[in-house]
Order: sequence, then C-alpha cells, then structure tokens
Amino acid sequence: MEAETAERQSPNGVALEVRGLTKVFGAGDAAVRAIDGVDMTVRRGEIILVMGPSGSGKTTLLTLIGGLARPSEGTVRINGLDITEMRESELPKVRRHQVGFVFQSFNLLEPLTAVENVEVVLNLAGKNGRGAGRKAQEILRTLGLGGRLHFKASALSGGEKQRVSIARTLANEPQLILADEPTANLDSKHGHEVVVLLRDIAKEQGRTVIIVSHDHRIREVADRVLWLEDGRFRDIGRLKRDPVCAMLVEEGSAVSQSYAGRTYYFCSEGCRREFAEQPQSFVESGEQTA
Amino acid sequence: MVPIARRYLLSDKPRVTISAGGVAFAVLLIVLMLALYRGIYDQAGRFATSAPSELWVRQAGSADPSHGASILDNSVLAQLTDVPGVAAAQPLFARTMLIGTSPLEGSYALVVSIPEGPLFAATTESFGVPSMPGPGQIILSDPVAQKVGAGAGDTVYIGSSALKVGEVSSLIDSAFSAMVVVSPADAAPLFRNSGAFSFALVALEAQADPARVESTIEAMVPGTNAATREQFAGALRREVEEGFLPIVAVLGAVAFVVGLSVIALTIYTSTVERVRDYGVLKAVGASPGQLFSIVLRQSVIVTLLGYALGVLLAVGAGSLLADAVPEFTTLYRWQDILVVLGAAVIMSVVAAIVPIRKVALVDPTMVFRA
Repeated sequence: MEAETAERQSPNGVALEVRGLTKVFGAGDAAVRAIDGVDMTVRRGEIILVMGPSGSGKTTLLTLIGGLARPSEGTVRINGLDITEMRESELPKVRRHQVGFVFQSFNLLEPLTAVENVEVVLNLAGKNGRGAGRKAQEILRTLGLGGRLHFKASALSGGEKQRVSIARTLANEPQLILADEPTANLDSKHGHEVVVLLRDIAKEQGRTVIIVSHDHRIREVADRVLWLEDGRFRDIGRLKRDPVCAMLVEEGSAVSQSYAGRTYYFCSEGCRREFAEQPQSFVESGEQTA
Repeated sequence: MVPIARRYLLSDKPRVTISAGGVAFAVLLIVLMLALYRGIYDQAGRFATSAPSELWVRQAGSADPSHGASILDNSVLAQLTDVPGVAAAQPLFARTMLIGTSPLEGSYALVVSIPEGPLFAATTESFGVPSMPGPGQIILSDPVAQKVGAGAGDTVYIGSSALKVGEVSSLIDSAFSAMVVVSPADAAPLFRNSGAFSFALVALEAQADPARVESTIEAMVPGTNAATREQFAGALRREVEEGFLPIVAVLGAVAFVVGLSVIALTIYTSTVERVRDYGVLKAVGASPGQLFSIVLRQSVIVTLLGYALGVLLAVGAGSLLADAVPEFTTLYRWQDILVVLGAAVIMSVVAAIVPIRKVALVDPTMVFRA
C-alpha cells in the first residue's frame, strides 16, 4: 500500500523537485543569500545526505523544503505539489501529511508521555479516539519502545527521545522526511541505531529521507551526498576526515597541514593548531579517508 | 485526544493554583456583592409588601420611614373610610430614631408602633411582632439587639426615654433600618405627634379596583399619597437601586479586571515559557486555530476552576458574614450565578488574546536551533 500511495503521489517516482531555490535574508548591502539558486531532484526511497561547513545554508534548505519558511525565489514540489504557490493557511496540511521532521534536539513535548507525543500529531491530522492511541503505540513498539510508552519525555534517554521523535514523524505517513543533525546529540551506539532506522524507513517503507549532518556514518547509508557551501551545491570532490574532531571535510576547501610526509585536512584553523601541537596523538587514531 | 492544554497547565501546579485563586477571589467579590445587593433590594421592599392591607397611604412627598417622617392627621382615618372601595383603615406609627443602652447614644432603628384598630391583629402578625409590648416595654429585632448590645430584660433608651427590652425577635426590617416595636402608649410621647400618625394601612372591599381607589383617596384626602404594596415596595427599592447599584457596578468591574489580569498573566507566562513547544507544534503541522485552541483552553480551565471555587466561597462567606453582621443580608439567585459565569467566560477569552497573538508570531524555524 505504501508503494501504491507513493506512486500515485510521486509523478515519475520523483518525491521532491527543487528549482532555482533562493533565500535572501536582509536587504541592500546587508542582504545575505543563504540559499542561492539550488536545484535538486530526489526520487522516492532515496537517502540524501547534505553536508557542508557551518553556515552554508543546510538548515535553511530544510526549512524551505519543509514549508516552514518561504523562499525568495524558486519552487519546491513535493510529490508534484508546488508548495511555494500555496497560501500560508494551506502549509500546515503539507507539514502534517507530506513532510516529517527529525530534529537535532528531539523537540519532544516534555509534559507528554512518549505515546502522547506521537498521538498528538495524529490528533492534529484529525485522528482521535482509541484508534489514534493504538496507532501511536504500534509505531513506538516497532521502534523498540514498547516498554517506554507511558514514560514522560523527560524520563527518556537521548536515544529513546530520538526514536520517539522519529515515531512522531512517521505517524501521519509522510512521503518526505527531513532530518537535521539527527545523531548530533547521541552517543555512538544510539547514533548508529538512528542511522539504521533512517535507512530502514527509506528502503523498507519507500520513504524519501533527506539528512543534514556531519556524521560520517550516514554517508555509508546515503544514496547520494550533496555538498552545500555558501548556499550552493558544489561537486563534492574528495572527502577527508579531520583527525582532531573526526568531521568529514571537503579536500579542496579545507585547512591542511603536512606531517611525516602526509597531508592532513581540518575543518577549521582551531583543529589544525591542536593537531600541530601534538600530531602523534592524532595520527595514531585518525584516518584521513572518508 | 491528547489533552495538551491540561498537561501544560498542570505541569506547574503552584502557578495554576495561584491563578485559580486569583480568579476565585474576583468571582467571590462579584457574587457576594451581587447577593448583597439582591438581599438589600429584596429586603427594601419587604416592609411594604408584608403589610396585611392592599394599600399604603402616607404624607405626599415623604420618603421611606428610614429617611423621612410621614405625618398624617388623625382625621385622615375617618376620611379614608369614606372613600368608596375602602373596607378599613389602620394607623401605623414609624420613625427612625436613635436607640442605645445610654441616653442619646446608640444606633438608628425604625421605631414602629401599631395602635388598636381594625387591622391590628393582622398587622402585628405581618411584621413578625410576636406580641404587642406593654407600656414601658420594647421588642428589639436581632440586628438592633446585636448592635446596641442589649438583650431581654435590659434597659435601652430612645432619645432620653428608657424602655425595658421585653424580647428580641426576628422582625421585618426595612432596607436601611432594623426595627423595634413599642406600645401605643409609648409612641405618642416618643414621637411627640399626638393627634397624628405615620402611615395608614388601607384594606379594600372585595372587587374594588386598587388603582381607582388610589386616585380617589388622593382626590378626597388632599396631601396624601396612596400606593399598593408593590408600588410602595418599588419606591423603596428604587432608592436602593440608585444608591447601591452604581457602587456594585464599579466594584464588580474592578473585580473583573483583577480576575482578568490574573488569568492573562498566568497564560501569558505559560505561553512564553512554552514558545518552543508551539514552534514544534507548528513544524509538525498544527494550524493556527489548533494552537489558539490550546492557549484558549488553558485560559478557560483556569477560569472555570476559579469560578467554581469562587462561587462556593461566596456562598460560605455570605453565611459567615450574616452571622457576624446581621445587616449583611444576601440573596443568591441562579440567574446572577449564570451571569457571573458568562462574565468569567468573557474574562477567559479576553485574557487569552495577548498570548494567542504571541503564539501566532512564533517562527517555526526556531525549533532547529539547539
């Protein structure tokens, strides 16, 4: 049923189409082009990883795709539906049924329990009563949270919170899921679990997942990696891992330092200086290949 | 459906308690004042409506006995009985005078005396007088006894005339003065108006038209004003209305503003604290109407909690105050309670306006910031 619904909704299997997307903040000399003429086409079931330096516009891109902000120019089509043409009053419906968000800081509603956090989005979509509660419980159980249904959000661990957040995202069965640094606040184990979860959502449920992240593990499950810099997509080139902070950086634009006949690449001048003070401690643990 | 509004509200129990308490205080004030006004209003007319006769006749231009003396010559009685439609006429003495346990000191009370006459027994019964006091005796109503601090057997003074308290009883007090009853023998020297009386109680013949008899009395007995019990009661109540209602209205408005401010502050601070949550709800698809509904529901819940508590406290307080202050006479009407409920609902809606505006301006992209 998932596939049929997606096919009906996605012309030619295209879940997302962005053309000439631009977002300008401010005006005149103070204007900043956070997103500058971005084009992208994403097919149903793809996992797209968007990477780039801080301030490159990754989060802004997600907010524009998800209809949380209006572009200055360009179009965004989700399952063939041009959301940039819609009135403000029509966008909540898009956010309920077409798009789901996974946030870096989980953003659960603290006074509610795990199951209530999921059920509330069903209520917003007009589904009430026991059916909504049962569906929320079912989704949480499939994500391994059957024993935490009635725990308040504040009593859950980071990994559990993120899974509840993902369950909330899946409740109204959106085609497109937008994840902003979903593993940034998680430890290694839970971060890996979330990565696997997002992969399964895409591959087994046929949903489209766009992830903004610096987490190299997501690169391993992504179908495509896009590099966003200064509001534009660039050819990704080769990615190298910063031996100090383990962040993936693009070789062509990264700060570099030579040591023992090899060149190392860093996300910032700060990491480079730290490496220069004690290179041996980083060279033993760090890998330069992406 | 997940009760978001209730969860948000109850996540800070001290705040909701204080807020509901503030509303309860406002409601208590409004309900109590309304009940007090109704009580006084009702009582104001009872002196008039409790008469056993259909008509009251008084000196033209005189006010109620608490505020001014009505003086009618004894000859008026004979003239009244000559009026077609009049079956009987009974004199009544009534004047507000100073009464206390020391001469020329004390509190004001309505001094009433009922001389022998065709309606004597019925009049005595109607005003709640258990039995006519003998010469030198006085019957006090409960409020007077409490105010002057006298009981059965004590001596009290009206002006400088000493009288012994025969008993303390529940009498039909007027709106502005509690009643005491003296014997006809004591009334004349007290009132210093021998050959005159205050009011005539006029009973009508069967089938007589009260309106026609009224106008005939005024025509045949110049210098008099005739009114039915209800008309006289209306005149007495109008004084209450003109004197008290503006005060009640102003105090009610102040209480309303107090309640409104308390709710508005609570809901506003709660909204500001949860502005990120509202951003999240917007991001996951809540419409403006759904968000406004969450804010409004919180406001309504706090208001209704406060309203229920306030009404209960008002009824309890009225009972306690009446025990402590006999003049504190209250009358609770369900219509007034409903009107206060309506005002409370308006209060809750108005209080939610500013927080709702705050929610409307929340930028959902803020949820991406850590």
